[in-house]
Amino acid sequence: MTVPLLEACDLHYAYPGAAAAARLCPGQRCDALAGSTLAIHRGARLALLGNNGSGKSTLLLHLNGTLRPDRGEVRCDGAPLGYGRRALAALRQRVALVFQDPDDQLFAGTLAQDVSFGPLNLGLDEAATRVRVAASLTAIGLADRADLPLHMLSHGQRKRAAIAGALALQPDLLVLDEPTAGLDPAGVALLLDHLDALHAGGMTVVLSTHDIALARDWADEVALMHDGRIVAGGSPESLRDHPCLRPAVFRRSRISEVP
Amino acid sequence: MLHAIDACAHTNRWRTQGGPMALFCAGLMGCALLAPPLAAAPFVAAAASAAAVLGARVPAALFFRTLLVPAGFLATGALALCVTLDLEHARLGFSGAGAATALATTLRAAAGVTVTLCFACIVPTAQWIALLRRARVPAVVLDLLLLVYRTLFVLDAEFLAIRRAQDNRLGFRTARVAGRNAARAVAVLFLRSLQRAARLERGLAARGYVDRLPVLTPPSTATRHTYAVAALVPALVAVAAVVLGAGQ
Repeated sequence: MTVPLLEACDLHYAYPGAAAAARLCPGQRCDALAGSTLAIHRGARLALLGNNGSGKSTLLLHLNGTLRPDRGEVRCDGAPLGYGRRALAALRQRVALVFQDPDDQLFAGTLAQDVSFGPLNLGLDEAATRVRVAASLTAIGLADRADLPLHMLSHGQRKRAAIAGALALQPDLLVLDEPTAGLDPAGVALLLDHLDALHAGGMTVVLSTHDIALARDWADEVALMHDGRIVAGGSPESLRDHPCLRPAVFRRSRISEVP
Repeated sequence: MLHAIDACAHTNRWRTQGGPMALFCAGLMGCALLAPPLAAAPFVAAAASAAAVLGARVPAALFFRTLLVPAGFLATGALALCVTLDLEHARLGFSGAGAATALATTLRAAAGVTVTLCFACIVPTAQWIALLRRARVPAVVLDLLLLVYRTLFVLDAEFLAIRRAQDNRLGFRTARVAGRNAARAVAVLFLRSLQRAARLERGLAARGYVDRLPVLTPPSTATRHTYAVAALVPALVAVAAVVLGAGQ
């Protein structure tokens, strides 16, 4: 059996202050992750499916070391992650994370400058960086907007700009937190086309979503998340009759009935 | 206005001429500050306006309408200088010396403001930050400038959203309610700016940020010829100002 590219093993995590909030609101969980286990294999196209507050974003933040678990561990190529400066830098080159809100990670004066941040951090010279920036912007369909400031881009374009910033690192694994949130159907279709092209080029892609149809249609593999745990996983076909994946059930948030 | 000026800086004809425009504006600013104001200010303002409107094709309406805002402040300050308080007769009077000072100060300031606006409308932020980098300004200062520039627009969008949300729920129905809600909007914006800063820090950490924000230098089409022209115009303005100033 092949070693997964990245593996989350029994992750537990609580945000600071969550326990105090849980005392004020009986019934509220204090653990954002309560034993999440997930394996991501090379070449996968995986959708992490769950309701709001199920822990999807928190789990994704663990995958590139942005958050460190209270308990459990993340393994990359079978080796536990290190959280030192060098180890994290090496990990973030391999595992690029794209946040749900693009304004959480875009900062520079122009689009091209923002995309150049990652390659320059890797120590590439300016000529090599320009090549990577051009390739990333072309891959995501924004080459003609390279010299525009970020606030002159639409929300959908800023989402793609954030992806371009991640692609410029040439990662093995691209992790996207709710990439289709706030996009119209045409924007979703365009984004998925770009993701398909990246996957066809050999990149492993993981995205989180609460859109069942998107998970079914796009992913090769789906992991269902609820209350900070992965409660089911497999191909969309194998989960077709899963009670969680019946749209009406999902909409009524009865995913909690899953054992 | 902030958005209009920024958009103009990123779309004008000379947007990739950051170096020459910085030289041009620095020269004109030097003339405005050092040359005799009565002679220099009209030339400086005319040269800056012509460069912006005729050269870089900045929309004239935007350029001159924007100048009206500082002009209002300058006029108010000039009026105050023209007035003197006669303590003997306990009345306000006109001061000839004050008026002369007001004229010189206002002309100097108006010329300086025109040059500043010319620079703001023509040179994109990325270009002038690159110039500061070449001038060996410490990297941490430039990183801060980049973040402030980006954050300004993010928070401007947030503030607009907050104001619209209040307005849609009749938050500005009366002057009293409007004042109270404007203060609430500012308070909310303060909290949001802290949250935004925390989220941006996390986002940048996920992209490999440690203690620097390196970015590419924006493309420049400046040549020796454009630098020469950019230096020549302020020099001519200075000569004209000195010659005319000596004759006065």
